[in-house]
Amino acid sequence: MAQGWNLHYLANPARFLRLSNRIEPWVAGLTVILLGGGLYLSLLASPKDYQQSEAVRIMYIHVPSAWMALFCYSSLAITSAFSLIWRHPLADIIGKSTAPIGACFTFLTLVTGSLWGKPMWGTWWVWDARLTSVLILFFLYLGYIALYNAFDDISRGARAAAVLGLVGAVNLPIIKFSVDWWNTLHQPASVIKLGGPAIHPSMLWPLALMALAFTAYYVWVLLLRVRGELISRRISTIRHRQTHG
Amino acid sequence: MEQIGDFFMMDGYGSYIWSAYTLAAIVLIGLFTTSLRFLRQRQADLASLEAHEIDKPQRTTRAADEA
Amino acid sequence: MAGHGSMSRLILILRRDLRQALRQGTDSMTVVIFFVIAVALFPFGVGPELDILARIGGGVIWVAALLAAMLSLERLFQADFEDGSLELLSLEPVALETMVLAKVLGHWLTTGVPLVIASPFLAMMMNMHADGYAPLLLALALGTPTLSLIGAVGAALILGARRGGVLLSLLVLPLYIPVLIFGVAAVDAAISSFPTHSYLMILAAILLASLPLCPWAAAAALRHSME
Repeated sequence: MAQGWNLHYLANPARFLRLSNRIEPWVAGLTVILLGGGLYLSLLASPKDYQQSEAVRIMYIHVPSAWMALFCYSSLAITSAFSLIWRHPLADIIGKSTAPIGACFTFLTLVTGSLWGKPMWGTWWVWDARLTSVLILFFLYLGYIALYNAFDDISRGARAAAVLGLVGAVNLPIIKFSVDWWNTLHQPASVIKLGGPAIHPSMLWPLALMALAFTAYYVWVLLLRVRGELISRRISTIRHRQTHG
Repeated sequence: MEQIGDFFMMDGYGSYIWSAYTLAAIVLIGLFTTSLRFLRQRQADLASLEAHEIDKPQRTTRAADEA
Repeated sequence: MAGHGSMSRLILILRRDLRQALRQGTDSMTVVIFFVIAVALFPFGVGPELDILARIGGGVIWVAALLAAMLSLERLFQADFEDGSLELLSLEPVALETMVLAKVLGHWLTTGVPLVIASPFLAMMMNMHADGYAPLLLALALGTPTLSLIGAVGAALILGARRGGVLLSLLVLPLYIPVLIFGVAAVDAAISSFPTHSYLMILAAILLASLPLCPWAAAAALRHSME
């Protein structure tokens, strides 16, 4: 397996490093601009909601976080498939780097959801289908990260985590479905409506900008982490060569 | 002045809203700095490792130099 | 999976595992005892009021069943992994998936079946309404094999990991939740005089889906662990 790292590493990842070095400033700039615009609209230039008053502003963090949580897991599932089918080491690294970002967004989704829920619906938590599914998604992320790091051999950890990533992807819709059903059994459905049947453009813009900002942020942090991982592998290759001649 | 006060109070929801935004800032900035520090540390490690390599009798391949 | 050869291989592996399990009969006993103790803790925790116990009984028994099923999962592939028999088994002409299925079957016979048998007594301890007993048995009978199947995937993933046991729980419990939800729903529906067959059908469907998928995933994980 060591030879595999050398061959693959010296080919694509080098190109990847050069590419990422070139686009990073753009991604960074884009993130800052989008975030600035998004925050301006969210906090200052958008109206209060008819029903929710100012509290609707939490939605501009909560909903994009939720989207990112799901988006990151989808990336994770795809890179896991790549990792298992084509054994591409970059797929492993992208998966490993995406997981903590996804976990953070999931955590934010949960907490901002509670902060939104308490003033609006009177409770910090409810076993609504959506909340419960997101909580389980959080556990899946943690499990993925724990599994990846639980082995002394990095590639073993990457493989195991990739299998888990795929299994979790299959299970996510099942969880969503089962919790949805469970929720309608036990409670009247407390659906979280986004300020009405359709979103007014004055609210759509901050939402969209924040979502784009979070996406750009994801790419930025992903680039940082992937580069760090690639350099880590480089280091262990060199060390391996030094000790084994 | 009153306007700024109103802004922070956010119709009474201020504590919830600002907690949410502050937490998001902490988490996202924290993740960013951690990731950046991770990268910088690895770059430093690599630099020192390669400095030692230069001192040693050469066994590097051209491919390694390109990467 | 070729017909005749794999069946006899499967039975061979199954017999071997069962013989080992019976020799260490304590394993099954331990699981059942844990099951009973775990359930018995709840009256101490929530108070002995029979109404409350009856209300939560289905859920408590199911959660305890989940935890009990997980107890012996860590060792499912461990012994074979350590002494090298796993590699030998993977070299046999029979698919690794069949071997996994045999192991799962052994696990279920020594863990799931005792749980199902013990469940009426626990239902009694929790003052479950009479209508709940049969659905509980059926639901557990359908659910415990699924727990073994999903557990096998987890057990295969953590081979050679540090702190495998704890990690296994973290990985497997989120995946168990759908089974838990429908299992408890079946019991609670019966108690409230609602029809149970849809929940039981769903449990059966999950089991049928897991039968091909889980051995496949577990075998993939096993292959990776042997590299």
